[in-house]
Amino acid sequence: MHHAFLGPFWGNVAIIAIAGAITIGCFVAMFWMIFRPGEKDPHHAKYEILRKDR
Amino acid sequence: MQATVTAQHSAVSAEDDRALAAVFSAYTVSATCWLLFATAVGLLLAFKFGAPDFWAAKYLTFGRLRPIHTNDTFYGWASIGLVGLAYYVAARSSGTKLYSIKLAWIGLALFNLAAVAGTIALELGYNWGDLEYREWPWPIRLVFLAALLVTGWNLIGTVARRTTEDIYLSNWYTVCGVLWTCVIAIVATLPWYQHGLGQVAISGFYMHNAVGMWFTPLALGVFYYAIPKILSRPIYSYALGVFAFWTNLLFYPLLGGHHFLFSPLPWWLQTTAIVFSVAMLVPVWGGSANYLLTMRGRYRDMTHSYPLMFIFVAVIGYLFGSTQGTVEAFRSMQAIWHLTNFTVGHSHLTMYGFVTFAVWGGIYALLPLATHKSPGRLGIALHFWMALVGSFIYVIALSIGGTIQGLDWLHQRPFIQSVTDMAPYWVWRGAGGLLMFLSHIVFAWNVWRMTSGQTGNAGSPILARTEGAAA
Amino acid sequence: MKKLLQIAGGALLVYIVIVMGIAVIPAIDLSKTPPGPGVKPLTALQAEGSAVYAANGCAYCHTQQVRPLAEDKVFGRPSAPGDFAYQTPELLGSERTGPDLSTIGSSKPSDVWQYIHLFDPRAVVPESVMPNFKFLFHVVTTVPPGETAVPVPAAFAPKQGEVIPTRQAKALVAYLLSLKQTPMPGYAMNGGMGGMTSAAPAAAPAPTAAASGGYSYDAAKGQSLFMANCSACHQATGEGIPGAFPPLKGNAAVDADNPTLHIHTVLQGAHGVTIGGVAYSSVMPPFADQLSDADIANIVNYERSSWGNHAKPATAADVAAVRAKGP
Repeated sequence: MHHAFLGPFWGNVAIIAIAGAITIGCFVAMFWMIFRPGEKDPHHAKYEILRKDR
Repeated sequence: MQATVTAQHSAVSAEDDRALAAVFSAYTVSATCWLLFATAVGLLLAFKFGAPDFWAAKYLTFGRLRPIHTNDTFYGWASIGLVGLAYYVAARSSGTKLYSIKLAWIGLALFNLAAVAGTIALELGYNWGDLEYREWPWPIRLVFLAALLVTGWNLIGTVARRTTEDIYLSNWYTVCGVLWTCVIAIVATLPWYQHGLGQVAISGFYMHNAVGMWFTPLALGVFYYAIPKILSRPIYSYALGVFAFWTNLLFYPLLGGHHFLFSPLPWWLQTTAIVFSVAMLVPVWGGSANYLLTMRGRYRDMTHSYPLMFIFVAVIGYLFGSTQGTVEAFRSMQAIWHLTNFTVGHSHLTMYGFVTFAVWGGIYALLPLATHKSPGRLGIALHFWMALVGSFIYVIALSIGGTIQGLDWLHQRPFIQSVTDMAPYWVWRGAGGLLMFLSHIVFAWNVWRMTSGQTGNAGSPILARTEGAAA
Repeated sequence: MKKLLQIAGGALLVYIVIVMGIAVIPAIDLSKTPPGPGVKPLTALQAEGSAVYAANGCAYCHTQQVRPLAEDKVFGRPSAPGDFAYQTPELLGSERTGPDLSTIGSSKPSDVWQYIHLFDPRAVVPESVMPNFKFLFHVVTTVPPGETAVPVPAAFAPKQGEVIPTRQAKALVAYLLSLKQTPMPGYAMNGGMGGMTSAAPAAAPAPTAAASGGYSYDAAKGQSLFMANCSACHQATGEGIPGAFPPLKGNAAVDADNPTLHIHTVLQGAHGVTIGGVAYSSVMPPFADQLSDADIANIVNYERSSWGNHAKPATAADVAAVRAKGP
């Protein structure tokens, strides 16, 4: 594979590290919301929408 | 509570309802016409792989018809169909009438004007280069932009006069989807800053953003409204829907460069595209889990609710198609699949298995509520199964064929072998495509029954429930 | 209203910032990429041809981007940023149903081949699924002065009349023939025919004694190399195309016991030669830069032993000797 297209090693590491940290953080948040959906308030928008429209 | 309900009732008259139904119907009928036209062209294109000399005249040559197929499915069928749904969802979920019926009609005229003019221009050989999905000459792109601006204004106006406290999540997706796409249209159209490799960078951006920041949010907006309505059950996690909205916004625009891996585009653009293709799994898996958990335990409802079946297939299409996209973005995978027919299978898995099924599910669930007319059970079943089986054959054939094509290249066989090896898979693709097209004819018949013809016996599950409650 | 403004305005703003960073600013920057050494703007006719290429959607099946992968070597060296300085609209393409065209101007330098192929691709590549572009040609009863008829093989030619290219066809072929790569320092020339010296040693050891052994060569490799590099013009039957590309079957140079002329033609190409009393105007590209001595020996031996030819085999050493003598 051509070297010039892969860019500097540490440059790649930096992008992957930053993006990886964001991704992992978001994955944790995602699973948190899946396991603890909460939202028990009966006036929450998600329940309001089920009442007859208008 | 009682007071607000009364207030809302007084805000919308029966006449407003009829006007909204007329707009929704007109968008659906118009979209359906484009679907029939664009997929008839697609079927002809599939046939040409086996018979390249068939209708090879100037105006019927493959290279002119192909962008007509892609642009008209994008900007004729899916865009118009989704905007019609967005109007209905915006008005109903906001407990109000449409901000402007007139603007909605103007928007419809502009969308159609752009698609007709674009089709004619491509037929005559006027294009802006073979730039995937943005071949229309710029004046036509401006007409499309005008249609978007009108739509955005109208949707915002509708949501602004809502009688509910919150802006329901669906409207986040649809309103912002329209606004983002205005930006995309401007960025893609302005010609004087993109030359040579610079234009390649915009192509990579455009190819993915026109899909992921336009069709995806509008289709997800339909999910967040239709799934709870059909099941009479709230979305599993509203917060997760909000989270998916923001992560989709942050990650999706960054991954366009993965269409040009191994190209001379700067390395950081390519690496960023790859890593954020992985990050995209957050909104995709989070969103899909949210829909599936909402449906959890209620899968038996599907056996007597085709609208739910359509939406279920769309959710699975979203999950698989997007995950496949992430896998394809790795350099090692792309060394095999990039530039092969595998990518055509991928685009159909997403634009058809996800977006198109979502539009259908939305229309079957919601249009009967507006028009009080339903399709027949046989019609909706025929449509569903032919479209599903057809797209299965289509995607599987091109996935296998594309892999063989890529391996032929990898093994450095004479190039022509990758062409001859594809022959049987192109035949299967044509067979799948034929089933898909036939299902669209049945769909057109169903739309006729939901709008103008005689009502059938497959009422929307939402309609059945509200009528049952009333009785 | 405030809530709506926060969501819609916020999301719009975030998006604009991202789009500027990931697309618009890099695009402005990349648009200033200087042309690579030797990369020239298109002539008026070539530019017209590029428009014909785009209008008829050639880029939906043909890429113009060579990736730095082994499998892409047949199409030339990896594409460099400077290659695209004058390419607006960009025609990199996203599918490769047909071969990449980055170096088509050097691998198929014959305009005659290009015309026949456009008129009916199956006349030269039987397995092709490319549509014909007959609408870019006229059929006339008498060829007007200044025009040259395209020697379409009888089986594919119109029943009556001669085929002549329209201006659009001429522009398109001028554009296709302009598609060549220029040598790029630091980019391994891994194939293609850009004219850069190859890794093959220029001064190979002179052949020792006579070729040893009988008629042994890698027949499968020879056939596959022939199909990839030669059959587009000389055809799988070795019969060529009458009036356009000479036959190899029964060809005096191919069927001669001395392989020098045969090897020399493959290495250095040919132009305007007369074979068997027929003058051929077509250009044959040189293969010296992209094929090794062993590969060329395999090709010539496949040709020398096929279609009824029975010439003495050549060896890699013979090829090296002819190569050493230069053009």
